Amino acid sequence: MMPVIPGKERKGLWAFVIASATTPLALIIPTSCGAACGVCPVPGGCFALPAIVVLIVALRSRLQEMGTRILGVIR
Amino acid sequence: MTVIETIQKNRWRYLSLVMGFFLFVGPYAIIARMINTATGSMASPTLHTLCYRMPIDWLFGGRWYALLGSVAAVFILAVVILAFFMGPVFCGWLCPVGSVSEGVSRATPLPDRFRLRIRDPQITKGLRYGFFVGFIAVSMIVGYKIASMSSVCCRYCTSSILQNMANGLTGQMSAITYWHTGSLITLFSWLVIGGIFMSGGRGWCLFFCPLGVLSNLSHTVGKKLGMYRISYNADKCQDCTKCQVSCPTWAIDTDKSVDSHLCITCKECTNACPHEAYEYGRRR
Repeated sequence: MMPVIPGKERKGLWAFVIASATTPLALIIPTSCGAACGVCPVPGGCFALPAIVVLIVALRSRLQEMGTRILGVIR
Repeated sequence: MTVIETIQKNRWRYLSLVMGFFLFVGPYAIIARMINTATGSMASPTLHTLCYRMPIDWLFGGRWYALLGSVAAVFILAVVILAFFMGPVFCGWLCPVGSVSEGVSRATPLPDRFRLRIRDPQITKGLRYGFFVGFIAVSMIVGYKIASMSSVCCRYCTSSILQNMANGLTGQMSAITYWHTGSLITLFSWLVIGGIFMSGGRGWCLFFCPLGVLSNLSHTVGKKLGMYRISYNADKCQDCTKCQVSCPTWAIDTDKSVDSHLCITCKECTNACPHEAYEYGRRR
């Protein structure tokens, strides 16, 4: 029988899986293209993106709320 | 609680964080100078002398020989042992990298509703350990030469950025040539996303610092064995949520319990709570 993971733990597990899967990718991509040796016009630029995307996905509802508030202030 | 009250109640920690800058960051780097004097080293005293990352990279990458005689490895071991007995006090009271982002966040007059905060510590923990596992995986790939590549350890290092910013303040030209796109993105994610736009300003510490993860793992084991920790007394709690608002690492759950995987024993919650529901001490 499959173990049942409660809601809170399941969210944490998903966050763990996504973060652990994207970080190596984020670090390896610039290495394979030779970043930080000056060849690439954006050395290291790509490796930070997956990590930032993970954070944005994890915080998307809060970001939406913030965006609505900022637009409210501007208007 | 007003800003003045917060500063008054946490004055010793803020003073300690300022002291941490002078202890670890060059050109002052008092601890590095002391180590250099003791070992007879002629190396320039900087934050790199006590690197937070390289020894962890060597450890998981199978380069144990590099750990022998490494001052940085001894430093990391000392921080982890201290966290076992006292909690991650280095992170909360001395770390210059965390103190700069926290300081920038606190000094920026941005209302809290515009800042990010993950309310569920399970998600914060999941992301934190996930990034750490990724860091270990890359250390192993590099160290065991599973793929042909150079070390990625310093590619996104906030310590390097902080040291170069300090170099710039003292007029060293190397501070200008250091900057590249990668370091600018790291600076942005450290001080802007992780600092100004995250409640508490400890975003980088929470998600990307390997030393912070090791300290909190050590603290969690120490807590189970009855060492020093922040403990919560539900009988005194009046549900005012000041503890959750004050915690820079989002370690306080909705039931007000303190998560030892995230807590840096900064004691902001013990000082913010008007009912003394939080207490720092040893308890079984």
